[in-house]
Amino acid sequence: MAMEHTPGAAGATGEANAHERERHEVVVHVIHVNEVEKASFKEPLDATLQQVWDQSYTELKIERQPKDIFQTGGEHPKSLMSHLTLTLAQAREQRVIADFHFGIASETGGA
Amino acid sequence: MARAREIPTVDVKAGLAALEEDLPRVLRVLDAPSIDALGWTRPTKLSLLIPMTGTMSGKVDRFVLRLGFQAYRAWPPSAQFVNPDTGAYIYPDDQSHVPKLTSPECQTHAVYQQHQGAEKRQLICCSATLEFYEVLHGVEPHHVWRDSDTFLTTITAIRKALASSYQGRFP
Repeated sequence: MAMEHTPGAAGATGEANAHERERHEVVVHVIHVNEVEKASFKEPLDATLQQVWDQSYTELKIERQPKDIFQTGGEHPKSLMSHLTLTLAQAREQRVIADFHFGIASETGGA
Repeated sequence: MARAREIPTVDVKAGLAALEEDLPRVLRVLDAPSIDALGWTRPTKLSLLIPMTGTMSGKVDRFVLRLGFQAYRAWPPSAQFVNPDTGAYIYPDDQSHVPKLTSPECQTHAVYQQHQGAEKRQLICCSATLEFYEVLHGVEPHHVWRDSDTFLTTITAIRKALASSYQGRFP
């Protein structure tokens, strides 16, 4: 039997989907340290840290540099480069991140 | 413009102008209305004092980083950990006010002597500090300070080392 779609039902489904999406989205905040710029945007909790990092350049309108590092934000920044395959949800569960504040900074040398 | 193996040049007027330009940008990106809100102080026109912490075995140690802008922004700010009571660093009396940092991106020396007979000084060995260039430290081309960098780069690099490789205070 063919399924009937009414405009009302489609609208209700669309709203439900949007609501569901919102439930699984968070606002991430990213500071580009070297350029002194910041951006905030929504990402699904199943986005990986790599995807968030990639999207950050688009949102910031800044070109990626080869020695850039993705790291946590705040006063105790830690590199996230060995955790880029984790999703936001996994990173939070595993306490790799405490919140959704991030930073991008070029590597420095000192050894 | 900063270059490897070149002695930095002091330009106080340019340093002050660049600090005045960069301070509002940094405050805006940190969502802070003033330096007071961040716990920072500006004891002179050309310096900032930035409180920092390092945690080892659950114990939190407090430090004060002094940034100096006498050669800024062609060169990075001077960066020294100082005695919080005096705002100065005198070796060896004040070396316990210096955190031991052992990150490949940022290491600290409570005392550093470039060669025999040279001045003994504290060195935060990081390509985002003025002293790193003053001692003619070797540096990879991609690590050299860029004109677009600001003192936020310096603070963040040192904070990252404190978060990842803090080994306690110097004795």
